[in-house]
Amino acid sequence: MNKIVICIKHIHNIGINYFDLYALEEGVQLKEQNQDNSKVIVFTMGPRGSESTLRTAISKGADEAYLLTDDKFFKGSDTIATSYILATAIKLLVGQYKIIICGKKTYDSGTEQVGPAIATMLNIPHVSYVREIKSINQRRLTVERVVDDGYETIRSSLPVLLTVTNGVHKPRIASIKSKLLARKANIKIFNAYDLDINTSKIGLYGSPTQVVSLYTKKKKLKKKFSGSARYIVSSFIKQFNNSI
Amino acid sequence: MVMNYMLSEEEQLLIETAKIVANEKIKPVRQYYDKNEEFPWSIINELAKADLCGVYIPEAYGGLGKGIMGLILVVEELCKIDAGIALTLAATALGILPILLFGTSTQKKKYLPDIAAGKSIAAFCLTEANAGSDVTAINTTAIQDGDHYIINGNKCFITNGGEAQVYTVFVKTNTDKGLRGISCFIIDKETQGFAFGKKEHKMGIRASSTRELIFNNCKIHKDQMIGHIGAGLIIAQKTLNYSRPGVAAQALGIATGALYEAIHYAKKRVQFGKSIITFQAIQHMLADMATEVEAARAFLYSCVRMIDAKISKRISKESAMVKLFCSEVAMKVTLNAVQILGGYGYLQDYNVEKMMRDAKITTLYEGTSQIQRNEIALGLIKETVINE
Ligand SMILES: Cc1cc2nc3c(=O)[nH]c(=O)nc-3n(C[C@H](O)[C@H](O)[C@H](O)COP(=O)(O)OP(=O)(O)OC[C@H]3O[C@@H](n4cnc5c(N)ncnc54)[C@H](O)[C@@H]3O)c2cc1C
Repeated sequence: MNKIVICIKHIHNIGINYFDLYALEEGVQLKEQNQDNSKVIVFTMGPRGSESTLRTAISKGADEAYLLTDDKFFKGSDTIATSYILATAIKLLVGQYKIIICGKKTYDSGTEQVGPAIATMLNIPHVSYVREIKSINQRRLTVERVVDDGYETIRSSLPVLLTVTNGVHKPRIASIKSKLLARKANIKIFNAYDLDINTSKIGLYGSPTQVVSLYTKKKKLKKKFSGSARYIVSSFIKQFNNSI
Repeated sequence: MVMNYMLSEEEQLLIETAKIVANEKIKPVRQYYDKNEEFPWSIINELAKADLCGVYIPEAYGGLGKGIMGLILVVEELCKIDAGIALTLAATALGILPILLFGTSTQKKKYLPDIAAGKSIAAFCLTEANAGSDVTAINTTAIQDGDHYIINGNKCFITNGGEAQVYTVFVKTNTDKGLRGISCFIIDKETQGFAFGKKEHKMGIRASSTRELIFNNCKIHKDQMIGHIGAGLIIAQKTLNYSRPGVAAQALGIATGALYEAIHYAKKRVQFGKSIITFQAIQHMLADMATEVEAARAFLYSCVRMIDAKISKRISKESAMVKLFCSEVAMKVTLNAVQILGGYGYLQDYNVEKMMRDAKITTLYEGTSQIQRNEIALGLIKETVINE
């Protein structure tokens, strides 16, 4: 069986992280195209409330869902600690897999680091900012990734980790029947003890970085242009040229 | 919405799903379908994928078994965005209800699963050129010929005509028997002798197809009859009792959509140095609109709860009342929404113009407002006879 692993994040008051919807869709489409009894397995590390996001993933085609949650040991984990928890869980609970797909970044913290870090810890290659899986067989795949001024086509051996952007496959709308089934689905819950994880590497104290404070940046109005359209444009250009 | 109608979790799920489809799939294309009078098959496909086509069909036939309540919640939600596209679903319910209510289990097995899955849609075929409000005046005939009936005549104004796979058609099986001479048949689209005529061009709900049906020696097996011979008029009346709340839901959805547009516009539009929502004249209009919409919703939901509970066989008066009330509310509210948007409301670029056009049909089909009043009065007269 081919196992397709998707890592998703639950965002408080919002639900599933935007780019993770694309990661999930890419994984589910892989499963549907191949029809070789592939399985889509989703993981999330977060508080108990993240369960709803796993149910969303099941309603949109995931087969199995794991919630990695531990109020004592996981809380305060930074990107490295989070990646370590996910990588440990994937190793332990999935074993062999064909591909791991993550969203390119989260909407709340947006470091873009968790996907690549998991790949590093699992010692597999990764490709970031993927917009489409062009082809895949048992040994390798070809993907198209977004770069600053265009697209890059990359071939990689398997298993591989991809981080995806809002690519060519739009996330599906879950049907009512699948939502009803997802409500009853079994979510497997694991804590630090279950994963037999080295607790000195996780949580607030195991994290090399710590968020000290968060605030919204106030935008300062630098200069206001008013008058006729012609005047606004010409004075803006003048100001712009002076500033570079 | 602040008002809470104690809907079940599953009912809320229907609404939530319909809302996602309406916003993501219908909103971006509603103007296109309205302008081009094109039939929205791609949207029906989306509704099908989301399991929205068979919410009222029993689970045994592949639906969700959520009754008329399920149907009206979905229709209302879709109509907030576009009533023309939503009508494909509502008119299918109307077309398939005769089978759902009166069909044999063989007929149900044959037709309901495809409808529930959104693989086919249906049409209800009663109106003729000379039989609108007066349905007893229909002229299409079915003459028995062994195990078959031969059907001749024309139907007009048929919603989903030409696009539907399944047609429930009311015909005269005995021209001498008057009210008891009408019967109802299920006719498949491909049947020989069945063709489509003119497609109508309409004021509103332009994504919906309204078409003439032509029966020319169309041969139908007697197993395609719904109920017994001569039961057609009762089938039509009972079907309309169950379907009129669906029209009320269309009206309510349109009105809610228009109210939403009006509030948002009024907040943004500045005249005399203030946003126009600060003017009491505008506030009072909005207050009346919101009150009427909420009253319509409360009336509709409680009426449909009663229908689904099957506690009373006599629902024609209530069903007529709720259709009458909601459709008249939709006319008033959309008219006022255009008023609040001023000249912009009259432009096709703003949604209320279309909503006002779409609203009008709800006071006409499945019985005009006058016919609903006749029905209500008849109910009042009958009730008082029983009580005295
Ligand atoms: C867009 C559209 C879609 C439709 N879809 C369908 C469909 O899917 N299937 C179907 O079978 N039909 C359908 N119809 C037909 C619709 O149900 C009829 O148009 C409606 O019932 C009115 O009939 P009529 O147009 O012949 O008007 P008429 O019956 O000629 O009425 C004209 C006027 O006289 C009034 N009037 C008539 N009789 C009385 C009375 N006894 N007392 C007081 N006033 C009266 C009416 O209220 C109206 O104001 C559709 C119509 C339209 C416009």
